Amino acid sequence: MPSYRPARLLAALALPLALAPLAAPAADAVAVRDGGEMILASTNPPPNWNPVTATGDITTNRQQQWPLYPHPFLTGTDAAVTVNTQFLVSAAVVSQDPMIVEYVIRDEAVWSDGTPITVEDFRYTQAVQDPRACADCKAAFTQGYDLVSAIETNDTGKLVRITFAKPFAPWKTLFPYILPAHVARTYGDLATSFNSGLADNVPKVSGGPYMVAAYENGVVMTLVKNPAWYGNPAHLDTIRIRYIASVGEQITALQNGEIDAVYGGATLDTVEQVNSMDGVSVEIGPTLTYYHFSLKASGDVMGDAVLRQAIARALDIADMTRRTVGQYVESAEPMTSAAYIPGQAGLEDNTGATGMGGGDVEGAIAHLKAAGYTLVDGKLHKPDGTALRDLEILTYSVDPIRVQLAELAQAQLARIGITAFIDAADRSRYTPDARAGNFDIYTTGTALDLGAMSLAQWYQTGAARNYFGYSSAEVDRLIDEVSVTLDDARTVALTNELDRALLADGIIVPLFPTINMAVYDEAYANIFVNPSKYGTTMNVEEWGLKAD
Amino acid sequence: MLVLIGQRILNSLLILLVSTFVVYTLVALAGDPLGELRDRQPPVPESVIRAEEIRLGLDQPVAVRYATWLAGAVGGDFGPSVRENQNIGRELAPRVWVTLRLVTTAIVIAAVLALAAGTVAALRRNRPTDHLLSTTAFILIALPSFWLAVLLKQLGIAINKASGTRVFFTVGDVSVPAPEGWLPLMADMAAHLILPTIVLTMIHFASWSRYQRTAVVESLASDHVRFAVLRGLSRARIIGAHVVRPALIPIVTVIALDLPALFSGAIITETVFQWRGMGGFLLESIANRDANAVMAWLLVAAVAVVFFNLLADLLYLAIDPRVRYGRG
Repeated sequence: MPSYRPARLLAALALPLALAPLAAPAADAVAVRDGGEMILASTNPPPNWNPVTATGDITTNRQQQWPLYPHPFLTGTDAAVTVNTQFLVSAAVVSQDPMIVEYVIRDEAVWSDGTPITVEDFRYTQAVQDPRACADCKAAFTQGYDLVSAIETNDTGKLVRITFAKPFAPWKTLFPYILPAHVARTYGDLATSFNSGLADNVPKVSGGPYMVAAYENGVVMTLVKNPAWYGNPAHLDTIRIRYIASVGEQITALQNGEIDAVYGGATLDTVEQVNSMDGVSVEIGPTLTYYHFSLKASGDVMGDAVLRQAIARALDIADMTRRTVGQYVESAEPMTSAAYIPGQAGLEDNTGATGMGGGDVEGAIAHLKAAGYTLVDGKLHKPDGTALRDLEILTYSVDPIRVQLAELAQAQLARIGITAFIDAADRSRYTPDARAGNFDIYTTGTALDLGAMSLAQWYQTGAARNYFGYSSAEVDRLIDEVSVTLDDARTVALTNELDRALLADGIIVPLFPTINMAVYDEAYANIFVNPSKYGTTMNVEEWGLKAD
Repeated sequence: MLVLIGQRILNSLLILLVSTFVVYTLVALAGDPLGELRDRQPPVPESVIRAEEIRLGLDQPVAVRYATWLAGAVGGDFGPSVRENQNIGRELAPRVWVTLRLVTTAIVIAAVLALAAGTVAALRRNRPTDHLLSTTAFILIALPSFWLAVLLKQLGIAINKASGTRVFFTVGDVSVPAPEGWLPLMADMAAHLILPTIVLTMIHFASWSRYQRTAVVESLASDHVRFAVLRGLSRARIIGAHVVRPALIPIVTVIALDLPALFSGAIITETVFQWRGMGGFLLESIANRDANAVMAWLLVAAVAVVFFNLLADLLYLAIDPRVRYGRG
């Protein structure tokens, strides 16, 4: 087990709900002093400098560039999303029909060159992600932006009043990075500035606590304090992001004092490695991304809901959690929902309510027998008397946990007479095979940053990632309703209803959240595991050397 | 001699042409370079994926893509990379220098050690010195370089901690931030060279010393050495001029054949010590299914093969009078 402080682990895994309202996603920030430097390792240099392009929108780049931009919302260590009051006075839905969102930017908010951050920056950021305004812009994400019908302002430009042609429930996920319109203008038209200007050039200005002082390709990015930063004062004078491709080598470099902090996925190897080190602090916590099995819902055998339901009943989520991440994270909790991670507000025990994922072998067999299936010499036979063919579990060979999950599923399914074989595909074949539907059970992961809409991308009829041939009128109705629901309580109720509908259909078996780890020299403080896809730099201005 | 060099270059160009086509086809068929983009959550718009396909030429048949690449490469343009903002040529150039720095140091040390150890082992054949050197060589040959590198890193860290000074470095070719001033910078770069150089040196020293030992043993048994002894020449002269010098030919051949492989990527060493060299470039390019980048690497590696083989031919001329007289 890792050598982290128990209180910290509890804080990270139990996801406490009490958070400081002033844009501090840190659960329990401690006093730090001003000054000092830090070297944080990252596995990848920026693929480009525009974090909202399709190429630039990767985990490491989002994290590295977070300190350079203004952000309307922040995600806390408890996964709760709150207004970033360092940047905004407020952000709220002021009308539901039509849906109107008003953002009020603080008067003090300026770019590092002194240019005020205004509605123009919102307009530019919206336009480059709206295919109607810029068909050639290579944006990573266009949903919601393409529903904007008007952006209005007041005479100061600090009011941003956005009208949507149709309600867009996950509106808080919009504008994660506000791009500098005045800089973009110097690069040319929308597409040129977005695809090339802001992507190819090291950011000239910053709207966050730090700015880029130097960049050495593939080696190091040096950040220094933004003198025009308008939020809570940053503490560290310099943060260097050093590129070391392997987390294992990062930890060795930390051990040798060549870097000060490592942030990334926790594995048995890396946890054991940090466990043997002195003088470091370790934070471990879950993220909003979770592992799950998704079952094919079409074809010769998987089209039968009874078989899928029996499989989902027989699989044991708690056992899989215990045998995988449970080996190195003492308090790892199994999922009880496909829509919320453990500890997140809104979570309900939907696997329990639907009887799925409990390792209920007797229940699964009884369910099958009631539908005409039989067990002959321990082998499952279909209602027509023929033996069920072997099922294929598609998994990702690069990820040891996914391979292990497939092996555990294989063993657990054998208990209900199902023979499964594992197809451990490498990177070149994993996604193409999934897209082609070459599987019966798919071992994968889902990021819940978009809430219920994260499920829509998989399970809505005809959705981009619906590799399963799945279609349910009830699920489609619930997705349609939740996508336009602006009331938080109603959204939670609908999301749980949607979750139960999917679980009851035997289309998904949620397993456990992926685990991230922050390891750093114990001289530093306030570096936390952030469950969002934006990573640990979300509270970078709070990082510092301990005051005492 | 010029004819010989010309023939060698012509043959090499033909081999290069065939090998580039084979490698390009293999990489192009190995997988979808946009697989990661297609797998994003939430999904990337289809229009963006289509635009990337066109940018990379994935909408064209492999043969057309190869022809386009070849035409560009002749003019010094290696084509677009899967990493949109990466200029392949500009990315590769500094990496060649990084690898050269690492490999050259290791080669020189390994060659000197191998010549000395192989010669001493042969001259002390079947004596304790020979047994010690041979056993050491066999152990080093058997050691996986990855394991040796990890072991050395941990040893370096232990020494650093014990001494309270950071003498050994485990990542990169220079500290971050780099020291100011020319001398401190050179000293820092030299310190970063220590561990990876030891790994590369040990691996190659071991096998080369065995070749050298065999060559010296064969040389000792040759007629011209017996004749030199009968002529009453001094032991030092016999060993220096009549035993070691002709025995250099096999070792020169072996080193010349090993050099391109080393130059094109001391992959494991670069990976473990996180040097941004040719090996890392190749690994990243293959992982990204970046055919154009792999081809650029291949071109550099091929040029290295041709160059070092030519160098070996020239060295034969210098060290073996039979080659010179034969040509004369």
